[in-house]
Amino acid sequence: MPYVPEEAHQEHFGTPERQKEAATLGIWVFLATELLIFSGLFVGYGEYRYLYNDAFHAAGEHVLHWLGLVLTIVLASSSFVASLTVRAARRGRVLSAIAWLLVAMALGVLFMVLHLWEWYHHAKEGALPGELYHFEKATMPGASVFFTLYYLLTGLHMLHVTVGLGLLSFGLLRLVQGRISAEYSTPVEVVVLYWHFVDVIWQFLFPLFYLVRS
Amino acid sequence: MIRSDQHSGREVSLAEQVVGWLAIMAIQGLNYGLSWVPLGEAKLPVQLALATVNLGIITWWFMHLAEEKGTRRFALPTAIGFLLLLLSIVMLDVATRFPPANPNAVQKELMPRRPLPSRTAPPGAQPFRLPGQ
Repeated sequence: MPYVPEEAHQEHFGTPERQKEAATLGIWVFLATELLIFSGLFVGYGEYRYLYNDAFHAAGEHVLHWLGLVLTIVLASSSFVASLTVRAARRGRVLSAIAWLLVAMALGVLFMVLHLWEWYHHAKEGALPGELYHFEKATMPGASVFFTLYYLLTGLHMLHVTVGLGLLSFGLLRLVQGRISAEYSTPVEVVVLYWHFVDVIWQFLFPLFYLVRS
Repeated sequence: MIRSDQHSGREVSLAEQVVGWLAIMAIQGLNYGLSWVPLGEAKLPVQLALATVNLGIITWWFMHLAEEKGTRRFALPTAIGFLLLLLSIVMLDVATRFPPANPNAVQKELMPRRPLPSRTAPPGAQPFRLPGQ
C-alpha cells in the first residue's frame, strides 16, 4: 500500500484529482500575477529604449555579453533538470528526484554567484543606477537609464531566483521527509513551476540587456 | 498521472524535454550570434520573437502545459495579453507626443542638472555636445 500523506486529499476537493487541478490552477494564476509585477518595468524599458535608442546601444556595448549567454545556459539547464525532478517524483523515484533537485538548486546558486559578480564588476566601473552613475565609457543622456533599468529588472529577477531557491528547498524537504510519492507529487510540481517561471523571465532579460549592440 | 475532464491524459515525454532544452540553447546561441548582425530596427523584434519561442518551449514542455486543459492553459497567456496591451498603449503615447514633452527633448534648458564626472576623460574621448552646439 503506497504512502499517501494526509494533505494529499482534503475532503472538500472531492477527489485527489480535483485537488491537484485546483493547486495547479492556483500556481498558474499566481504566476500570471507575477508576470504583471514585471510588466511595469518591461513597459519602462520599452519607453526609454524608444526615447534613448542610441544611448541604450552605446551602454549595451559595455555589458558582459558572454556572461549573459553563460547565465542563460546555467538557468535554462537548471530549469530542464528541475523538470526531471518532477518526472522522477511522479514515478515515486524519490532518490532520483532529490538528486535532480539538488543539481537544479546548485545551478541556481551558480547563477546567483555569477550575477552578483557581474553587478560588482559594473559597480566598480561606475555603471551604477540613478544619480550614482559615473561610468565614463557611456556618458550620453539615457545611458544611466539603461543601467538603472538593468539593475531594477535583473534585481527583481534575482529576488525571484532567491525565492525560487527557497521554494525548491521546501520541495527538497518534502522529498527528504518522504512526503512525496507517485500518488502525491503536487508540492514538488508547483515549486518547480515557479522555478520555470524564473527561467521564462530570464529568456527575455537576456536579449533586452545583453544583446543590445550597435 | 491524472485523467479527468481538466487533463489531457498525456504526459510530456523525456525526449520532448531533452529536445526542448537543446532547442533553448540553440535559439539563445542564435540570438547571441545575431547580436553582431546589423539588422537595424528589425533586430529587437527578431530577438524577442526568438525569446518567445523559448517561452513556448518552457511553458509547453517543461511546465507541462501540454498536459493541461481548460483554464490553466489561459492564465499565463492572459497575463501576457495584458502586458502587451499596456506596452502598446504606453508606446503609442510616447511615439505620438508633442516632441518637447518627451524627456529626451534636447534643449539645454531641459537637460537634467546632473554633475559631470570629475575624472579625466579616457584617451580619444569626444566631449559631449548637444545637437546644434
